Amino acid sequence: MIEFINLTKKFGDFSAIDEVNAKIKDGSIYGLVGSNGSGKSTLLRLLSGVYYPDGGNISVDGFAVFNNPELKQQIFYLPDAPYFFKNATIKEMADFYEGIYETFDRARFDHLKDVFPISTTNKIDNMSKGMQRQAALMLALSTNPKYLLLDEAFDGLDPVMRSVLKELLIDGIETNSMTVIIASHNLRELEDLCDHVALIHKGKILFSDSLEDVRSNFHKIQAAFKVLPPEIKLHDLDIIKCDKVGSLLQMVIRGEEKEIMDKINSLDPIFAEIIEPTLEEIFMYEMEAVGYDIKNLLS
Amino acid sequence: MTSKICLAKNHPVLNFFKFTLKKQTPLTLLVTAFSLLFCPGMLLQDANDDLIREYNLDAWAFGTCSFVILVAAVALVCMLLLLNFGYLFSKKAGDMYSALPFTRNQMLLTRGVSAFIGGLFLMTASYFGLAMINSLPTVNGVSVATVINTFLFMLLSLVVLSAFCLLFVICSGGYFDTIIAFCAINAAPALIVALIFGIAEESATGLAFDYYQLIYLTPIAFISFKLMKLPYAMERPQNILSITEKTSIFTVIGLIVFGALCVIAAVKLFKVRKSETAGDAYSFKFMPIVISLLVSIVGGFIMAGILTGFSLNFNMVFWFFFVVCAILCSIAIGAITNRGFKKVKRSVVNGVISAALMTVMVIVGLYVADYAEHRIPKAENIETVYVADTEYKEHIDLAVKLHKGIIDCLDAEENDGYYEDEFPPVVNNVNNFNLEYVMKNGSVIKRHYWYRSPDMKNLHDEILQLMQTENFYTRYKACTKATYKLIEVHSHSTKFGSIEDREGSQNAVLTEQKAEQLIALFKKEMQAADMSVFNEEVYGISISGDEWCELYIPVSFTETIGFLEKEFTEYAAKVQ
Repeated sequence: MIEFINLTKKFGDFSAIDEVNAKIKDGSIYGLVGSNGSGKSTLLRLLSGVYYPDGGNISVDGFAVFNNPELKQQIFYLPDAPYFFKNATIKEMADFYEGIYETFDRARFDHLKDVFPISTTNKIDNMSKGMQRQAALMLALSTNPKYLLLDEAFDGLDPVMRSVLKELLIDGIETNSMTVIIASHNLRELEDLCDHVALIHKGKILFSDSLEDVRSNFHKIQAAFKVLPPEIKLHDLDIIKCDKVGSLLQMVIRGEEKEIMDKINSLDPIFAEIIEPTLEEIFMYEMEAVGYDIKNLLS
Repeated sequence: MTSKICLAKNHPVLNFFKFTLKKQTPLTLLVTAFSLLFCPGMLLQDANDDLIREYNLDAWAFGTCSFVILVAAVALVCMLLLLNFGYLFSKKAGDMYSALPFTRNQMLLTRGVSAFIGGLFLMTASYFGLAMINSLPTVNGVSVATVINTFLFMLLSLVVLSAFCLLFVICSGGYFDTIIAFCAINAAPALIVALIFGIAEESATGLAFDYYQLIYLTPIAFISFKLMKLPYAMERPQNILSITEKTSIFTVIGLIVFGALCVIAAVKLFKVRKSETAGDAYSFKFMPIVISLLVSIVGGFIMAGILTGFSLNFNMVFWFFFVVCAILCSIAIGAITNRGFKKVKRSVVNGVISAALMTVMVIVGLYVADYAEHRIPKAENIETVYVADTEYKEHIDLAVKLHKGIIDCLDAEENDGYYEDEFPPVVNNVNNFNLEYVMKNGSVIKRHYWYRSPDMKNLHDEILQLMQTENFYTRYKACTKATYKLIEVHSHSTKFGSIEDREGSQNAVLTEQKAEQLIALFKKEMQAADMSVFNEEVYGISISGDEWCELYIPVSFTETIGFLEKEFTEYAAKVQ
């Protein structure tokens, strides 16, 4: 299990990570979402031992990561801009990683060569961005890490490759009990893949929960009334957003579904229905709550 | 799909080390090839056919070759360190390397030792070639002990300099910044001290700073200097070399301690170096401040010198230019360090501080120089004294008296120059009035003076006493010895004061016995002379034996002159 306890990281006076607390269970696919510059990549770098925390601690199975080669053998970090040796081929990079990571699986690598449609003998520098991403993923998956940290993993991949990646990640979890942490803006992709998600903004985690619980806690309600009820009637609902279109109310409410519907129904609507919000909508609503929304940014 | 996990048969650290060695092999071989061309390549070219007959590979040449090899090895180590630790300068590369399953110490060890091995390979290959040439039967080379000891010293030096250079790579955030830091920290302190020495020497008469001492301020110069002198020191008697030139056990211990400190500092700094500083000019906050101060002082001084035409006139105009240029240099280096003109105010402050620091140091230097100018050590504290490079252990009081007289003259005189018509030609025998006191506590005080009339007329008594001591004639020993050739004598002035006039010059060739006889006659007549010699014209000759010296014989020294004229006549007859 991965645990962040009051984790802090500063760059000068700027707190990139500000007293973050979270737990990530083994075998999960953990999505890390957040606004630009929120601290997602910084968190991954702390977890992979690239950065040293300025406060609090970060532990994996009870041990600190930084300067811990035994633990780092189990972690593979794939940054948003992967680095390859100058003029190296995928094969040469694989040979390098095979010598470094004790869990590197040559058979898996050979299998992945057939999965990803890229040559392992061409120079990676000459490949397109998407192909380089595929090369990086090929190498990452071949190391068979217990913890795979992916920063913007889907960036540059075509839709087919994205599906392939999802399948490979799921397979890795099922066969090797791999834990995957993905930082991404592509919430639609994460929605299909992650079982846990955390929203990070300005270095702080706004929420961290299973996707099911996140979804179960947010509800989009459409209700039409003959006469719109006064606001005070709805005050005991945790309304995040409320739009009025004539006699139609479109609301985003946090809370238990049954409680919410009971309350709405008690106001005698013409009709009321629940629509499942997407992760993207939840993200937008939460960001709006902290002032990071279109209206505020453009004003 | 199978998921067979590769069992831990690998040794990741060893594999990483092998990988690093492999990656640096092409560069290592290339630079080694160049090094072999210089040494022993150039040596072979210089020796040419002499290798078949007889070739003299003296200690100086051996030392110079060794120095070239060490320089090449250190240069290669620096290149390899930049290659191996270049990932510290890039965020992308830094992410990858820092995430690898190694401790900081393991990373430092594998990459650092790999670079050192590259340099060691070059050094061993080139030195082996040199040693092979030295061992040829037709080569008059240095002894086996010298060969072995020189290599051991070079090995120690390579370790020390590798650790030293590693510090700059660790503390910097880019290739260019590493070079700036390296040049600034190695060159600037010595330049600053040399500038202060120079100003002090200009302001105070007689002060003679041993600029060789500056080598202690830069390890590279120190080691290079010692290495070049080492074979010579081993092949020749110890007393020929000064303390600065000798390589003693204390030198070796000092190097070991310095090297150990560099290694410890490298380990500590690398451990705490933040990965996020990749791309910044320097990864530690003290570095930009130090670099800025050093560059501002040196740059300000050089620019002020250029603007004042290098007149060495340290007046208000110079100091004004210095302050302005120091600030401008600080702004310039600040722009490089901060990747733009973002912190101009801080740079201006640094420039002002640099100028103030240098001003304070110069003022302190001038005060110290003024004190030293008038300082005459007490005779009871002096172990021995050298006047014009001749030892006068039994005549310390005479030397001190002479020194006091010179100081009194300096305080009294109103001009710097001397008048040619008041310069007694016989004083040329003393050549100069350089004093070197070796104190009983081991310290050395040096002063450089020359004859300055008119007030130095008051010193004629002491000068004559000096020329009448037995010690005075030890200076002629080397030129009356002929290890490789006969002793040649040329006359370059006949009975008038100018030593430049070569009209009527005569020659002779003497045996060692005849040369000693000449000196003995000169000594006898000088010891019987009185103050009138200072008013006489002289008969000037040069004597070339193992070394070269000059003799200025007053015209009243009839025995000496008669001896010479007889030799010149006989030689002229032989030649005809």
